[in-house]
Amino acid sequence: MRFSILVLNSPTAAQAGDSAWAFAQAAVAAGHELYRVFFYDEGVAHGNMLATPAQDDVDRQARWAGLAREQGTDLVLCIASAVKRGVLDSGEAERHEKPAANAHPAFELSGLGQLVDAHINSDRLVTFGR
Amino acid sequence: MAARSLLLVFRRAPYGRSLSRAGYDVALAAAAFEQPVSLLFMDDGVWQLMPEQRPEAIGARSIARTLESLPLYDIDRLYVDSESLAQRALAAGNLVEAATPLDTAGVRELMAGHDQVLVF
Repeated sequence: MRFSILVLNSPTAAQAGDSAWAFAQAAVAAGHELYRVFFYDEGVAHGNMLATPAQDDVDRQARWAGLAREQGTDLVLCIASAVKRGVLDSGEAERHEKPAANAHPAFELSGLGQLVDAHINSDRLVTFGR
Repeated sequence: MAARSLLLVFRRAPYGRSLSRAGYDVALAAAAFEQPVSLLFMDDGVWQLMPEQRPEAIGARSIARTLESLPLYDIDRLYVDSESLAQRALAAGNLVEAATPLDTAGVRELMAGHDQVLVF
């Protein structure tokens, strides 16, 4: 089966991202395909490359980036959610005349159309967070 | 483009968090891509349907106005969980947009009848 995941909460404020990660691991282990993970609303904080977890904590961003690399899963940050929360790639930083870009390169900034595409092209779209 | 039915479930009060607004943005995006969209209001989400919202008092944008604009985007299938209304002593006749009341069995059937369900 082909799955996509919607993540709605930031990795520091809620369990949702970790649950999504555990679900992703289980889906892949069971032989399913993971098409896309769409980070929306506060979930876009997952893509902030400047976030620095404590040394004894899990590096959640590296974990998602590894999944994208190994499984070919798209990691998409909703561009409207990301820009208003200060998660910018170099194109957005330039466009909005901001001094720095901080989106992790494993994550792509794109529109809600990517969520609709995941809805159309996945057997199941599973939400984590609220 | 293939069309798959999408049910958006609103379970939170309209103001105080960003998530309700985020749900409407998904509804509009899905409609723009010609996907059939239905909305279900349940739990505290039924407060989104209250008339005479005056969110300017807290510096928020009006959810009621967004609801009123949905028919322009061909989003006209709105449902409300009648048990959630009853728990809050609300009546289905007095809502911003006409929403079809459903009992628990009706909610179950609605969810089962859509290809995807997203909850906000």
